[in-house]
Amino acid sequence: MANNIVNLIRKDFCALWSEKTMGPTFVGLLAMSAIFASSLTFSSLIFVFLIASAYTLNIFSLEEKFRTERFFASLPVRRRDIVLARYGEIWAIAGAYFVVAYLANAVSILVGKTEVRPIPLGYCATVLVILAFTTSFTFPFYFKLGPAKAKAVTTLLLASVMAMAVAIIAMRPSGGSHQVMKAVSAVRNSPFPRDLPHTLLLMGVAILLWGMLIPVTVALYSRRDF
Amino acid sequence: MEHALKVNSLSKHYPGFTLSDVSFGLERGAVMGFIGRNGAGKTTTIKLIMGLIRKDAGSVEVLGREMGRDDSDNKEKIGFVYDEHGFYGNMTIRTIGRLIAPFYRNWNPEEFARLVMEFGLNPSRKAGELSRGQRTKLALALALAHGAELLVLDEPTSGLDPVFRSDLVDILYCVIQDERKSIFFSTHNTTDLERIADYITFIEDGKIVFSESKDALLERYRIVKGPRERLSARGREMCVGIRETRTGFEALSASAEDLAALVGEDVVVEKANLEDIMVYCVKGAADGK
Amino acid sequence: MGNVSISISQSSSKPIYRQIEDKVRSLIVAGELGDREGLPSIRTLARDLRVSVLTVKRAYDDLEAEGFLTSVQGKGCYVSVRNKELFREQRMRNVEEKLDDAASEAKLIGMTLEELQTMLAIVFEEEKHGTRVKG
Repeated sequence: MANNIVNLIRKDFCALWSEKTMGPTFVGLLAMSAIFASSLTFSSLIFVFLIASAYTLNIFSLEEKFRTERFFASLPVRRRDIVLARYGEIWAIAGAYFVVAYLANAVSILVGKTEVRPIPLGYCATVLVILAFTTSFTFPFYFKLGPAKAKAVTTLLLASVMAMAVAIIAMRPSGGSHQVMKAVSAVRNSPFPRDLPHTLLLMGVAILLWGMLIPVTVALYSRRDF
Repeated sequence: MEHALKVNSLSKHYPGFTLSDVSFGLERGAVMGFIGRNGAGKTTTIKLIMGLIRKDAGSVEVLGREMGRDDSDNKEKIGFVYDEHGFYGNMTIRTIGRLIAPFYRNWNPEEFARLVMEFGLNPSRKAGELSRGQRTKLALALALAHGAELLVLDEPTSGLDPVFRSDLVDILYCVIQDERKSIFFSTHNTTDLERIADYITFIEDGKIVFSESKDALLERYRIVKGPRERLSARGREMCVGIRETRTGFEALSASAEDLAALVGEDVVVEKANLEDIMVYCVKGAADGK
Repeated sequence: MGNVSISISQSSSKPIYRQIEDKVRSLIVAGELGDREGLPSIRTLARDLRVSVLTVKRAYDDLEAEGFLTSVQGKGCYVSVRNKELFREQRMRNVEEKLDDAASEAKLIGMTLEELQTMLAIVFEEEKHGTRVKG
């Protein structure tokens, strides 16, 4: 079983890489975002959301374009493994992000850039939560409806979230409700928890979200008719 | 003898179409042609066999074992060629082989390479650059390279030229030199099957019309032609389907000699081929027999 | 296993398995397939003739029942003329067929029975002495 999941992950990464522009562009985006992580800003977290959205949209649109779903459903692979592999890919990407981020972080600090702080665990927890939320907007639709039908809904959802994020950055103190402004500023200035309890809480949220999401998407895909 | 494929009372209901009580069996080492019009239920049946859609009722056994919906063990022994090929367009044939290999316990890389070469494919070409026929050959190479004992082909020749179709039949003849291999082949083009199939299963409007030996079919049915006036009511009863024109009637009959005797004069009796049988059966059903 | 020349016609009204039987039977009867000589395997013949395996199998099964073939498990089919009388009968049937052809031809050009019999005597003698050149 684990074997097949690894094979499926490898298949997806190979497929993405074989697309001449998609592969290198995505890897480039991932590397840049990871390096940008050291800034510890709200914007760098938006990039995490961007990467997750881009990957999801890319990999499912490839599946739609080449109609590979049916082919893989006829291989000796369980539906559950196909679903788990997709989550595995997101986690693999998260892993790569952390590795590059910490490396870049360490290098910057060693080189002597004094404004760079070590990336705290709270940041990582927030990254995981963002990934968990992104997959919860996208995966259930793709697995239930298939890439062709789910495209519209997921693109809309992702675009809305992106719009909100951009709005948060762009908001200037002027008119409007004071409460909203305070909330927006709070989020913008301190986008991730700095203390352990909140960090653990956030990690818990991510784990809980995935814990509920994975069985649901597995069930949805198992019931899918091609 | 163990069946390579056994389908029992498969049923599936869609809003506009129902597949009901589909049953047939394919012996080990035999070739079965699955014929029917477009929309008769061939693809639905095959999807049910492969677990691509959920069945409402019935069961499927492959190589003696019940086939569950998500049955990955059984799929090790099945080679499946579908008419839409799901290959990533920018991957080379070689890469595709390498990516698929680990999914199968009995994958044979030398066999895959040999088949690719034998089918005239260049392993360095990208899947997207292949013609439709070449993609089908690639699908066949993938299906054969893992030691599959049952080959299931869903309309593999649709939209392809006669040269390719002949190539495909040649390939299938090579496959059946191994008596452990069985082939299940759906098509609406009966000339492909006329020669290689041992058994024919005919589906129409979601129901199996017959499932039997091709030789028996071709021996039993004949086309009878004659003048319209000489076709009596009793004569009509002997026909599976009748076509009447100004120049006379043409009918398919299982008792051609008796019918010819009844018609008496100006009667011609000819061999019927699979296409005739299919067409007249459908016509007869439509005319309310 | 020598090269066996069998060709069948898809358009003939005779069922294919019957055509195969007749061809193989006449090859045996004509001596082109010797006793204990191996026949092509069922599957090979099916491929070469482009017919179904079941068709060839039926032909071979019928010939085995008639006493012309034996099948050995795992090795294939061999000529084995078990029924000598049947064999002779087949050969005689062959001769009768050929005489029938000759008689039709003769009638067509208006030969008399005596002329035909004379011709037969000459041909028979030449055949016996091996001096006949087949035209």
